[in-house]
Amino acid sequence: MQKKFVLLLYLVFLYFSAYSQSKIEYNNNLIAFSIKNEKVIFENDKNRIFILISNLSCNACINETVNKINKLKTLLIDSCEIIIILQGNPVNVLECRNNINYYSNIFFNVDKYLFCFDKFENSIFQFQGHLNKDFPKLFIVPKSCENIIEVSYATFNVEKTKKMFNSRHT
Amino acid sequence: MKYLTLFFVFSCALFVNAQENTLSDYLLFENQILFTNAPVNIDKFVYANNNISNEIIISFYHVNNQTDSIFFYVYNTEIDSLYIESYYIKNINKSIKNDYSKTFTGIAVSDMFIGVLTSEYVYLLSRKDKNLIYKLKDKHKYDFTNIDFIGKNIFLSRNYNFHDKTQKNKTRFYLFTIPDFSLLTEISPSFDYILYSHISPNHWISVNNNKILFSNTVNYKIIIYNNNFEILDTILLSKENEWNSPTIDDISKIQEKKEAISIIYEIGKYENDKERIVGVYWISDSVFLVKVNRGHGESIENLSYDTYFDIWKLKENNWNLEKFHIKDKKLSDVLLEKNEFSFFNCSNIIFTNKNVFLLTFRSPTLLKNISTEEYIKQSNDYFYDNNPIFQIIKYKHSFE
Repeated sequence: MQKKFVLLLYLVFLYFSAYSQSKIEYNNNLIAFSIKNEKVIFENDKNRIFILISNLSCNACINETVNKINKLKTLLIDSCEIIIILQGNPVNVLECRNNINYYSNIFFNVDKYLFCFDKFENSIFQFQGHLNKDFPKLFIVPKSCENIIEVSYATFNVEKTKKMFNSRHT
Repeated sequence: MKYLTLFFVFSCALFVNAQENTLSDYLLFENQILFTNAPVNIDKFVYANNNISNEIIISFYHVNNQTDSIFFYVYNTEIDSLYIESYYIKNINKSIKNDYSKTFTGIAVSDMFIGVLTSEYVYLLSRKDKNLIYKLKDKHKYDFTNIDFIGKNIFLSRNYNFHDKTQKNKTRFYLFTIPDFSLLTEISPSFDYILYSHISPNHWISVNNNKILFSNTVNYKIIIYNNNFEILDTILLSKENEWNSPTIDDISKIQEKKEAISIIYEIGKYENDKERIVGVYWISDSVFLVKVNRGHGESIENLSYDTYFDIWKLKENNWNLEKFHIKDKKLSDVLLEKNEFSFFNCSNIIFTNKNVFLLTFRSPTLLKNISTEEYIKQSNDYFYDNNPIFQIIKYKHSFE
């Protein structure tokens, strides 16, 4: 009986930890760059998901992200914007364009492709400081919310995100 | 004065000697063929050259097309003409839907046939009747990674670190008859460190009409097989030529890793200033090239590579290293205005005995009669708003 109780506790723990969220306060820090190296600043005026894909993201991890994003888009229709942020070099525009093309063939519900070229202190989109195994990283920004939720692709929960967005969707 | 002259001559000799041997010395620009109507599936296109006649075929088939019609661009390497051959294979789209690659693993071409390799089947197409004439079920039976026509037969092989524990030999060569796929012979050639097969692209197998080149990667060892898998030659690098490879301890640490991604990261730790063979290419029966990458950087995050080519020639029944480490310069390091060219680190290269063809996605800007600076500027301006265009850059070479 005790064993079963411990197991139950463990499962409850797993359930809650499966969507362990690291919250970042929204502070005008949603900053990325266009292929032309133009700064793009986002407000928390819409439900958005930013997907940070490192050049070393594994294929299986990307496929899992694609499946989850497709499912979310089906559930939410157009009430959420998906933005992919890639690694690149502003001098090597071909590489940037190739990266966009590559992911365009994999993701189908993406609204914008942007870049995080160098470490830009004011932006929350950074490739440094994350474990490679956690990429793609997702930043969930519900409309008008002061908190940005950072999750790894593996812990990204479609249902929970949908609820979060729907509660903020007008 | 005599000593001054001698000193001058000696200095000049030293300077000439110190000049790096680059690919540009072997290349003459011939043409740039733009495939303006081809799709932009840069993630994977497959290609093959016909070892007998002057053809290169290219397929951009992708599972997203959701069709069972397959189109091959057929490029004539002599006259630079292009046409499309189309085929229909029922349910091919369905069969590769769950494939990791989402397209073909490889293709092969001869005058009579086109071979298409997917993870589930090997398809044999008749070029005369434009139809499917045989399909061999694979799906974990063979796990082929390469397909080529050799002599009158079809050569299928695998050289990949598949995780299936039941698979005993991760490197295996098979020879089948055409068109009925009777197995003629099979062998398990030795490949030094199969874990490196997670690093792609690689081109460790090269096939001409009757011989197979098969290289190791960490070790400079190349085996030449005949079209019956008998060893004709084993080529090793002489100790006079510097070759830096990871230590046994480094390799042991890589071998401790089990998953592909962990293996790739671990390999990245031991690439700095180390060399590896990443490809071999027949030029003719008596000449082949070895492509070598030398890493720079302490981890996979900051890793970059310099690429070199070695020329091997057969002279009096012996394979001799004709040139060691000819550098493949990056675009920014060549002077197009001085007719300097390179392979620009392009991984998709086809060699014939006269020409070399780079298969690449670039801007439509012509590489000829332009400065490097202007080419880069025009290309960047193009890529801000446009997708790259698939093209073949054709050089005449003097490797022979």
